[in-house]
Amino acid sequence: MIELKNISKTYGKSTVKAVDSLSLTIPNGVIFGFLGPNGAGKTTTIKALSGALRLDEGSVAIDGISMADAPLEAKQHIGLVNDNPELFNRLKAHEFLNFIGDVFSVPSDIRKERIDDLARRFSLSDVLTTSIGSMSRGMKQKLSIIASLIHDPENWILDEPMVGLDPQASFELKEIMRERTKAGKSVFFSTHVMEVAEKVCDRLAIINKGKIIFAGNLDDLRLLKSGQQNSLEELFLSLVDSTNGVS
Amino acid sequence: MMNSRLLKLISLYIKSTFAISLPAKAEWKKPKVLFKWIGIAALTILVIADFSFIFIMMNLSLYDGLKPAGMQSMMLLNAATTSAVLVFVFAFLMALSMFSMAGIESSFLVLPFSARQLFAAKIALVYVSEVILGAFMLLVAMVIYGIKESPPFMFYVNGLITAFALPLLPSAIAYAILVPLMNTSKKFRNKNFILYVGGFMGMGFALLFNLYLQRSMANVANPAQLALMTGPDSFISKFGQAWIPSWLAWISMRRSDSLTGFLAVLGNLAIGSAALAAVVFLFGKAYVRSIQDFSETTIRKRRLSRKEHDSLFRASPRLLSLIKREFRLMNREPMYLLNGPFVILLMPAILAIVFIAQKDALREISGLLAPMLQGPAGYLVPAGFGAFLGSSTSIACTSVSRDAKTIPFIRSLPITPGSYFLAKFVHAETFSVLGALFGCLSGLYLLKNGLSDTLMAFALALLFTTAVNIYGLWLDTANPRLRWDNPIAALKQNPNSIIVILLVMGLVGGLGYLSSILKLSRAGYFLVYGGILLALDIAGAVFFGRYAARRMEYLE
Repeated sequence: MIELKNISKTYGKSTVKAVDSLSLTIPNGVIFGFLGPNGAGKTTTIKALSGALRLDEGSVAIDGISMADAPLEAKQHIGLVNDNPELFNRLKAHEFLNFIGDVFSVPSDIRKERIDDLARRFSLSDVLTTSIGSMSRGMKQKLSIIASLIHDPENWILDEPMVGLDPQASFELKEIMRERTKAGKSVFFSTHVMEVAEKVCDRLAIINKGKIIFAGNLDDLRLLKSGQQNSLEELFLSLVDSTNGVS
Repeated sequence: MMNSRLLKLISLYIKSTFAISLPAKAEWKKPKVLFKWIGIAALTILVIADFSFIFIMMNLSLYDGLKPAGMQSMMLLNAATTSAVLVFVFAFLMALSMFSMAGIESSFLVLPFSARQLFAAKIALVYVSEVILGAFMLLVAMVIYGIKESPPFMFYVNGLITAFALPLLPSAIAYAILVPLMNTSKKFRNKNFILYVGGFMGMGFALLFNLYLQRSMANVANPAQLALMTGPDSFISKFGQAWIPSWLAWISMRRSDSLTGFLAVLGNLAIGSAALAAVVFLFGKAYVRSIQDFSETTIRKRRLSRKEHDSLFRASPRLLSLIKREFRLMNREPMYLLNGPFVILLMPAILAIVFIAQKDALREISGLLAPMLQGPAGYLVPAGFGAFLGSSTSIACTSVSRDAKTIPFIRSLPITPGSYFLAKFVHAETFSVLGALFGCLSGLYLLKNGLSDTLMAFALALLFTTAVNIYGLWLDTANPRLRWDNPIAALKQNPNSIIVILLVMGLVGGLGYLSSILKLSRAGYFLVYGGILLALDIAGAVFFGRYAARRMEYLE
């Protein structure tokens, strides 16, 4: 479970808060979709809850462990799929996976088994000795996904995970999300693809200008919009427009 | 229409290559910005002044050496030849390095430019870049000759036009070699390969040029000797007379009082322009093909056997994994490897060249220094060399900057700041040990040091490099360069690496001077310097550890 309490973050000399007093709870056993327009604060929130950013205010707790007080322990409970898979182009795939395995202290036998299984599911078994730099965007994304699951984290956090994935890999990703929530773990992911969010998510949060403007499930959202039976895309646009002052 | 497009493309290339983005008016009030730009201006002036001094002295000496035999105009042939060779080498290296940016270049392929326009614009950029150097070299010789000989006005007109005509042919030849090469082999269409080849060629050329300068400077005081290097029977003179543009350049100035001189100018212009036009015409399409095919990568897929799979994935201690990451990320990036760890090999090569070129002068100096080297200088000199060499890799003082984009991801992992920075330190220290060892062993060889002197030198050098690594890492942790697109910005263009290398030079020089005025026993220097450096190392390790843990929270 992930709990964000009143978190705020302002970058550098900016006067605008990228995230403003945001509170959110991501319970176990739930696929939680995080939606918002570009620049709304999705990546900042994900960076904050994964310990990559220092908060100005507020607190983050992962499975009850405070990110501020026990960061190493809290991070051990997280698997993060970064929004930028271009980070370690000079490493080979197996070197990157071993690095992540070592950082999370995953024993050799468990590591081998998990990598073998995930690489098969994402069709990466034949490129494990290849340099990451020579891989396509989609392959890099798949590798990030595998790396984030090596230590079988309780909480899986994904920033725009569908970008660059082929239909087979998207399907596998959604399957794994469901498997994990069935096992009582939490999945929190940001996306721009409304169809995916509509089909996959048990709960949703919509962020705009650094503030949560909606949190609940799709039915709650429809109720909020006077019972309209519209698609998530239409509801999302209508909600964002109304908070932007567009009638 | 076509020409206007071509001119616009040339202008875009030139602007994007030479554009210097000066800070806004308000920014100048910030001391940091002001200090940085004063530093850049001072360094630029220093470099230009340094090269100007070398060429002025060489040409003055050449004139004095050749004048008694009435061959003073040979200095013009020498300048024209040197300029043509230098322009060719620089044009070749620049053209080669620009192929490594073919990825960006390929975006122009979708615009309505013909293959020849794209190629012509690229050659124009190379020409404009190199003409500055070529003209500078020829004009220095021209002005000195002009002052000494008072030639007619046409001498300057001919010289000036020739200075701009001379780089045309070398620029064309550089591309006439490179474009077919790029089309011949897939190997050449690989960015890393090009960066390594260009890097090694650049270094090789720098070493040769250094040898040429050192030899010339060694003979500046002896004009007769220098004149022998450029006289009618010398290699440079024979080559210059065989290389028609150099010969024409020489004739254009030597015979500036007649029509022959001006015809030579026109000849040079015609040869250069015709060569450029021919290269553009013949290789335009091949150039575009090479850009299209550049960075073609094929993924090598290979099914792993169970045994291979198991051997690939083995757990290691976290710190060891972090250290391996540091080595791999630096050693596999050509820009980092060539400008970082490789310096340990490059520096001794440069010094070996100085040694070879100025052998006689150094022998004389070492004869004078012999009694001193019996004393503490016997271990202090190699210690200084080892300290300098071991501190010259810029690994520690750029390590946080090199991580820039990965820092948020690293911070999301369960890694303590202690192990993160310790891995960086161990990486830097490994190469420092090699550098210090290399430096001190050269003392063993050149100064015929004993084992105890070598060990003392090594200990001092290592204590020094350790301090440089700790405080360099501190500097880059406090003030990293985190926003960059080209990796070279994190290392070679990183102010931290410049500060550290200047500081190291100052400290090694300063300690050398201090040693000459201090009156201590033979072991006294070792104890004093060693004690101070050890204290600095311990203090740095303790206080940096505390600082780094706090600072890591703010790195984003």
